[in-house]
Order: sequence, then C-alpha cells, then structure tokens
Amino acid sequence: MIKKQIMLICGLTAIVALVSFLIINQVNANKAEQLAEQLADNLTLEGLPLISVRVEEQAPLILEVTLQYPTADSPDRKAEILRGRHAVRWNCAELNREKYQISSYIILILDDAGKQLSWEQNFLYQSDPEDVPVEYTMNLEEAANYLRETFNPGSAQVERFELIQEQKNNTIINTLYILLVEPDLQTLNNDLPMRQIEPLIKGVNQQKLYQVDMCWLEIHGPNSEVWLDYLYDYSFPVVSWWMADGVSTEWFPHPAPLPNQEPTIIAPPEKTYPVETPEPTVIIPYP
Amino acid sequence: MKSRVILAILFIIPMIPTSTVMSSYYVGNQYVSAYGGRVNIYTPPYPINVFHYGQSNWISLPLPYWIQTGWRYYSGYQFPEKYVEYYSSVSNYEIYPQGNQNWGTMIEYKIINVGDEVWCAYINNLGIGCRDIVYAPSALQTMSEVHNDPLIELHTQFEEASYRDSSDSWHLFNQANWTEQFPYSLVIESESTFLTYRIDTWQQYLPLILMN
Repeated sequence: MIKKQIMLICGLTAIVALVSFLIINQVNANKAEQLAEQLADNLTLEGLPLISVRVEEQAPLILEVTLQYPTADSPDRKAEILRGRHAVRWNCAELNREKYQISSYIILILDDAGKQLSWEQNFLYQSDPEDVPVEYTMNLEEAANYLRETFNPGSAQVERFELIQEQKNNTIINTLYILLVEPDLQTLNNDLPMRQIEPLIKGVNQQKLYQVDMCWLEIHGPNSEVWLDYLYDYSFPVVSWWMADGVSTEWFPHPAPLPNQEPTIIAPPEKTYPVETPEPTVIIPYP
Repeated sequence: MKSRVILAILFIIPMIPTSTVMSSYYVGNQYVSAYGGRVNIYTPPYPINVFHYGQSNWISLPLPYWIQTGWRYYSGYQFPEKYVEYYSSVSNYEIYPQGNQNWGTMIEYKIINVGDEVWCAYINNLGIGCRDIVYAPSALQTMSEVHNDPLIELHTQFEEASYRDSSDSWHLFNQANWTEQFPYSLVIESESTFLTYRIDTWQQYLPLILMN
C-alpha cells in the first residue's frame, strides 16, 4: 500500500515537473518569437532587404537574421551591406539594452538567387548600467563646431561635415557625417584622415563634451569614385569599413605577408550553417 | 670636435631611411597548419612610445582573409586595447574593441575553427564573434606588428603559443617559422614562448646628438 502511494507521489511529481517544464518552455518560446518579430519590424522600418528573422535557439536565445543583396559585387552593394549589417547589430544591441535577452545573433547574407554569400555570429553581453546619467557640457551646435575645428582634413576638400540628431526606436542618436574629396590616392594614403575618427569621437564622449554615437566617413576621389566608406559606432563599439584597392592598409592591424606562405584558397560557401556550437565560455552571461 | 660631429652627422644622415612609402614591421612565429590557435600575450610593464603611429600584438589567420585577436596601442591611446578584427570578402573590414588591457598584464587570445570555414575569436575564453573566413586547417601567425615608424618601441612577451589539431587536442608550437624585420627582433625561449623587442640603434640617439 505504502509502496503504491510512494509510486503515485513520484508519478504526480514527475507529471507536475513535466508540465512546468513544458509551460516554461512555451513561455520562453513565445518570448523569443516576440523578440524576433520586434526585430523584424524594426529592421523592416529601416528599409533593409530582410528575408526573415527566426529563432535559431531558445535558451540561450540566438536569433538569425537573413538579408538579401544583389549578386554582382559593386561599391554600392558593399556600402549597402555595411549599413545593413550595422543596422542589425544596432537593433540587436538596442533590444538587449533595456533587458538582457539575446545571447547572440547570426547574420546570413544571400544573393538574388538565394545563394549564401556570408555567415556571421556575434555575441552580446550585459553591460554595466550607468547609475548616474551623464551630463554633457556642450549643445549640438557647440559640439558640431568643436568637431569641425578639431578634425584636420589635410589636403582633402570637405564636402559635408554635419552632426545630426535622429530618433530611432525612441532612442536619440547623434551621428557625425563627413564626406571628403581627396585629390589623389597618394594624398589620401599620406594623410589617412580616417585615423582621426576613433580618437575624435572617443575624446568628445569621454571628456563629456557631447554624446556622439556614430560617425560615418566617406572619402571620394576627384571623379566621385568611392575610396573609403567607414563607420565608427562608439556605443557598441565597432569600426567597420570597406575601401577601394590602392588605399593604404597601414592604419589598422593586418597579418604579415610571408614570402613562403601557401596561398589561401577561398572557396565559396555552399553549405548553410548552423555549425558546431562554439566552445563554452568561462563566463556565462545568459539569464 | 664640433666639426667632427657635423661631419659624422653629414655622413650618417643619408643612411637614414627616407622612403615615404609606409609599411609595417613584423616579428614573431607562424605555425602551419592548424584548426585553431591560442597564445598568452603580455603588455609591456610600462607605457611605450609609439610616436604618431602604433603597434598591435596578435594571433591571426594569414592573408588574404583573416580573423585576428590581440591588443593594439596607437597614438592617443591611454592604455593598450583588446580587439578582434575580421576581414572577409563580403563583410569587409571590422574591428571590435574589447576594453583595455593594462600595462604589465597577460591575456589569452584564441581563434578556433568550429566547422567548415567558420572561425571564432575568444578573449580570456569569452566568445566575441564568428565569421566564415577560410576552410581549416590554416596557417596561424602570432606576431607583433609595428606601423610605419621604426623608432616605435616594442616589448611584448608571447607565452605558450599553441595550436589545435584535427582531434581538438592542443599542443605547443613546435615549428620555427620565425619572422624578423630590422630593427625589431626576438628573444627566443622556445617556438611557443618568445619576446619581441626593438634593437637599440644609433638612429634613436641621433636626435639627442643634434639637440646638443
């Protein structure tokens, strides 16, 4: 009799545990789907060539964003991909800012025919919340003047130098837009004005002069050809850019060109991922 | 005496490299080939002078497309900065700064192939990001890179540089594929542990002579 009761209690406990697990799982699934939908809405609003946002994994939450771009490579496509990837990065980070939920996100880029051009995964971590709101000493106009005076364009002609305040998803973003026209590649490679951007934006933020979140720098040649398309996002932070052949590579770290190095064969991606899950990390920041 | 100094200066000034073509100097080791690599990289015990340029110390896949992680210290920086850098044909160039690495400290930097062409970067075992770069196995470089100015100081200790084989086992570098570009050199303890530094040259002391 007692044995039967013990078995009954064990059975009931197992059923309760199973039901609880299923409920929690369903709640997590719903939350994950809601976040995916919210991200899809935000990216669509930004005009991205979005194919889908799907939940790759629920716990820890991994979202997969698929974008589609033209097959033929061109400066325009490079610029669009640069902006598209940054928009995904920014929106994922923004979704996490209020309440940490996404552990990582995957960006898949497809061409017109649906062939995979690239795959990437970025991990997100909870940043320390700032207890005291930062007070800045300059207003928008003063900050714009300060930046204009501090930035040295060298021999380049400054076509645009604007600090613009925009609102995105209820967040105010201050972006510095710079467009330079260089007389020739040699002058660009001697001056390397892009080297000034990181210290300039870091400086204005760290000295609490003004909150400048991003800087887009475009450098054109005399015939409007794009030589550099460069983004520095202080809030993330990240620097990403593409540049034309002939622009110096001596302003950022890069591997050594070794004489005896075997040529690396770059094969076009044929398979879709997921790949093996990256090794577990020592710090597990997932909730 | 004064005329001798002037003569000496006139003699040695033409020997100073005057090329305006900027280039990087590399010093370190390479392993061929592996499914991943890791290395402990120290920052110098004291702030170094990088003049108007800078340096980086890293573990990396080789050219033409790469994933790289390490620390960099450029003109205007207060402290060396941890970073992960990617370069691929579609995503192009990206650098993700990861905060400071204080002077005289050591951090483990790691890159691992997790399947097909995908490589992931870790700093002190914390995953930063993954990209499709190149099929494994690949060569790995653990090096110091000095940008443009041979007067820039260098003093970086690399320890326990290791590679991962196809069965996911880790081994210390055991190949001596050294790269050394004057005026930068190495103090080699083993293929996996070495110090990169700048050789003292008369060019460092020339400004002092000219000032006196």
